[in-house]
Amino acid sequence: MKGNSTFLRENHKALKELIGLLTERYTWASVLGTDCSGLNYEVTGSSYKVSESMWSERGFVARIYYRNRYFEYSFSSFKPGGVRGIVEKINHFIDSVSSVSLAKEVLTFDPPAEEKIFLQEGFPLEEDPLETDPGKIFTIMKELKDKILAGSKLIVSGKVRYEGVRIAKVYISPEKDLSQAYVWSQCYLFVYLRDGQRTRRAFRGYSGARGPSLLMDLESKIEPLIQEGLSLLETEKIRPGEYEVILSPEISGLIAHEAFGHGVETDMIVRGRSKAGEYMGKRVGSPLVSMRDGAANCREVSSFFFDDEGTLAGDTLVLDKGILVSGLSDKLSASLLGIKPTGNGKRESFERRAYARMTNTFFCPGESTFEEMLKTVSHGYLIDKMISGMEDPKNWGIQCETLFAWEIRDGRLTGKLASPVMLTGYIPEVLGNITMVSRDLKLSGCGSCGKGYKEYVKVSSGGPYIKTKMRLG
Amino acid sequence: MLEKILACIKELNPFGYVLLEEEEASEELFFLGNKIELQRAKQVKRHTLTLYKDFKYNGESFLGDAKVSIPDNSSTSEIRSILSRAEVMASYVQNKPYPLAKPESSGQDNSFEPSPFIEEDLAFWVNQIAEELLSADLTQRVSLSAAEIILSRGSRRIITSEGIDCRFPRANCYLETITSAKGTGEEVELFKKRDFSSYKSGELKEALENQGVLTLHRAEALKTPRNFTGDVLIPSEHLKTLFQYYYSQGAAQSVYEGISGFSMGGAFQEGDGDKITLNLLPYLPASPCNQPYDPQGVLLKPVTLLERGIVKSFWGDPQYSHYLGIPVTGALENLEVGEGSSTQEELRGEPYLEAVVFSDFIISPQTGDFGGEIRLAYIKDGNGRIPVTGGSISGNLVDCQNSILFSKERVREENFYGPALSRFKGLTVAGVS
Repeated sequence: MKGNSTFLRENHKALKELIGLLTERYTWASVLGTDCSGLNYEVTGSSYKVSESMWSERGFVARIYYRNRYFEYSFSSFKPGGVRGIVEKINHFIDSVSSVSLAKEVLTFDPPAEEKIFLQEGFPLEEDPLETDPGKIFTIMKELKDKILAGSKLIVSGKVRYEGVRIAKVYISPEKDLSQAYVWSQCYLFVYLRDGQRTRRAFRGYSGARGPSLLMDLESKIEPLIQEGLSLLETEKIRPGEYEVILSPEISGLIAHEAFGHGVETDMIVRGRSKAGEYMGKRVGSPLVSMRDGAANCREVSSFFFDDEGTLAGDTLVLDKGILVSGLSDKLSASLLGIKPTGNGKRESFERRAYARMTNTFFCPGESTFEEMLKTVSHGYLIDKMISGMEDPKNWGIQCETLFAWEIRDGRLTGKLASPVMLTGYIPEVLGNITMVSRDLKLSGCGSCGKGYKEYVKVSSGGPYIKTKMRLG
Repeated sequence: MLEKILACIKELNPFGYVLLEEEEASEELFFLGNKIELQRAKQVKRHTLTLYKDFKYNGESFLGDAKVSIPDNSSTSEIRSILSRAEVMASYVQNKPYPLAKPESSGQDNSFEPSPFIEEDLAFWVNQIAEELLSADLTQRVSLSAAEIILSRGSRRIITSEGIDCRFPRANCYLETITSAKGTGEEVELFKKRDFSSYKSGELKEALENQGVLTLHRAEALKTPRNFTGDVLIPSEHLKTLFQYYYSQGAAQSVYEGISGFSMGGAFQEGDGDKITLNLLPYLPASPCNQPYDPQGVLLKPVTLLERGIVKSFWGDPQYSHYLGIPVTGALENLEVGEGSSTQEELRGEPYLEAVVFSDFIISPQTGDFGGEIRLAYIKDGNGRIPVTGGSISGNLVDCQNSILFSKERVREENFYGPALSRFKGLTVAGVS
């Protein structure tokens, strides 16, 4: 399988031996091995940079089931003590923590039940970001940067950033022997403008389950980027209030991810941190809206064959015509809820624990066109370009910050722009107020998703244009 | 492993290098309610190498660099391959030459108070912290939904081609607590995270109890009114976020690239507000960002970035400091902000909205735009001080920095020591009722 890791292949026997030795003492054990390498390229007006990607990692994490409890041990190498050395360290750790008496209880879990599966899969590697000539990548990026800087006298700086990562993972348990390899890339174009004391920044991001060929199609995106940047120098303040809005596919994805997706991560449900637990099987939005999540439903940055707990990739229908039908599960929370895991157990790296996380999340397309939606808005805004978002699964609140709110009056874009704009609201109201959904479907996987302020993982999100009502400020 | 890497570097004989070796062990405890859900431990080693290559292109001289990681226990042939690839990548990085960081003796007392987490087993500290949290007296209406304790310690060693060879210990605890409470309406929660390298006994218990009180207030809060147009008070926890703007604007790289509008000796504030003084420090008690050297091996010393509204200096790495012709400061990560002119009581004297908890409070370090959704705030008007929730606050720091008032009292927040409270005019409050 092209792209599979020599390091993981060479350690496969050791991993099998590790599981064998651990299951002599403990009820069950598994191990995830990772070997991920990536490069981050950056070209600005005055400098070049190439550095190891933050997604690079190489190591192992063992999970042990013992006395109805779970333990984990992460390590970067079998040396110097070999497999038995690691087993001794694990034994010492479990003995020491098991014997400490804390005046509180421990959660107990049913024994894990896995099917016997052997799998070796990889997406075809069209171009390996680690093997591509750096000169070629820098040349393309410099041309893009030069075009940005030439765009206007008001431009003070420009930046192009490209990141390409090659992923290889194995998962071994008494029942499973899984391995996979794939790549993903992301690219950003930035323009910085200044008019007097006012500095503005516009940006565009592109991503995909591909290599540096992602950079090839970007020259035509520079001019629209510059126009967006120039628009940001002449923005107005929005009058806070509730408005009709048309959400771009990127912002629909942001809502799907922040406002809804985090809320259906079942590790939040078992902690009593999510309202979604009370609404399973009930209506939470307009019949026009359905939502899916899965590593197996498309090819984007979070497409894979098995998750970091060895569960095969899923394609979960979360929202079915406004009815909440499923959560997104890792193994531990699925076990506590008595449901099957959905292939959403992900780790930031082998050094961190697994949580229930999103993969590729989107609202499903509908029947309308964007032009039809525009005509129905008497006074509202077209919302585009995400800056940030934060989840509030307990109360189903929305907090998203976006770069663009283009005014719509009497069915037309007026050209007036408010920026930045905060979107807040209550998700059942926002979903309930959806009156039109377009036929488009666009996903984007730039950036990263955190659980609170840590545990960053790659995800993609998107959807169609959606017309609804939201509070803007 | 280190010897293998150094031997391979010697074979290659590059223009220069910076090699970082980090060892880290952790113990981690995850609670679901007050029950232990999962226990973890970690033992890892990381090597990061920045390789420098000098070269000519079209008659012009350049100094390129590439930063790569070398996986733990790579073989010699793997290391050679990684270094060779780094050298090739560096040969395309057309940066103007600059001198690398040189060894330096401080001439000042650069000794830190070591983190107590370096002593005793990790398990001892994890259990101490867990016991303190579980002993917190949360009222009957408040409960602990979840908590995470991640205690790490290890060391960092920096070796460079210029003769720097330093090693220092690192230790800190990441703590996350989520509390929930039910008022007359729905159950609500508050999320709190903290990163620290030391703590006083009882401090964590008190913080959790205070979090419980705030959660109860959120449960009983009214909706933030739509018609609020007054001043906004922002406490230290969020003021820390706002100062990321000044930190970024004071970076040599931002100045050189034209993203920052700061000029040396220039006044960035006018008007009657308190003038800002911002110092960068290598050490702050309990900060998770304490380090005597930055990752490039630059010895860190205190720097005054801003003094009473005037730009005094920039902070920077060897590259951009050289380009600007200024002394190299390195990357200091602790911020100390000077005291203001009013007491907290005086700042709370006139009507206000005090924003205590946000879903997420963010600022653009380039533009100064900031804001966040309100999870808990207090409005004081003629009727007293009442908790409110919902809606958002937004503003731009460039627009309002001339009229900010800071408190005289200062407090510590992770890597920040600054005014406990600040008062802002002209922010937009988008209420919900």
